[in-house]
Amino acid sequence: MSTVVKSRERIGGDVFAKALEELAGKLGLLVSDSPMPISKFKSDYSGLLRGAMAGQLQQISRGNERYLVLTEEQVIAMVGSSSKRRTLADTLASVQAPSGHLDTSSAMMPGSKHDPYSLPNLGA
Amino acid sequence: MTSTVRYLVGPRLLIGLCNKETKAVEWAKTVQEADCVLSRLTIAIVRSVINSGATTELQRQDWHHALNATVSRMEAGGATLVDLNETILEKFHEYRTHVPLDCTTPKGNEPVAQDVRLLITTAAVMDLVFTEYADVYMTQLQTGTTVRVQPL
Repeated sequence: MSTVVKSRERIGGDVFAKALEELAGKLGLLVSDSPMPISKFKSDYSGLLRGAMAGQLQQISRGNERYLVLTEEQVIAMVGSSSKRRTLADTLASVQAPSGHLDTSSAMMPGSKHDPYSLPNLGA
Repeated sequence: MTSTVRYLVGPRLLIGLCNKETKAVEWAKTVQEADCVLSRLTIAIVRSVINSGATTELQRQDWHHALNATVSRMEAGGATLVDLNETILEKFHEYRTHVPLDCTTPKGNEPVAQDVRLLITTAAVMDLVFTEYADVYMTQLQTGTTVRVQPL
């Protein structure tokens, strides 16, 4: 079974392409090079579905409208991916690591072996 | 559902998170921000390490930027920031002079400094798992106290 998800209309091509790339990255899939026109889809739908089954996100276009064809497995994977709990590593992934080595030895400076404070000898 | 285990991030671990060190990142893959607690003392220690350890002004700024970004994203994601409070300070006497609590230095094992002892007290009072790079005192805490620790 395949599911057709209509793309939001009139979204800038770069934004839609970027979203597709991101979705493909999350699901470990490839994106088809360009949308298949609906006229071609009518005569070659089996070729598009084969591409979907082979692990590609397949697009169809009708005029300016674009659609995405997803296999059953891709829909299930998409839901699984979106419900996955984010970890601290996910959150910090976009933080850029600083450049250059930092001397971190002062992060663990030794303390004093003896308490520097003592009570006065009141009995003396 | 939020886990019942919450982790107090140690200074060396926080540095590791900023610097994307393997040990730190591998640990970060196993936890959610909401389960992390950052003491403002830890942040202050790391700021001090950056100021004393950076060799150029550019490097210092770079590290401070990474620290600020790390802390703000953790906080935005649900991590808790805590201060030293009256309860922690009342309990501090138990760990201020506790022996043995040793850290590894080039000169051999030396007693752990008071700032880390305050963090250990924080973990004890708030029932947190003190999570830090492995060192002698982490094992000593496991065997000689009730403080929960996670050496990395």
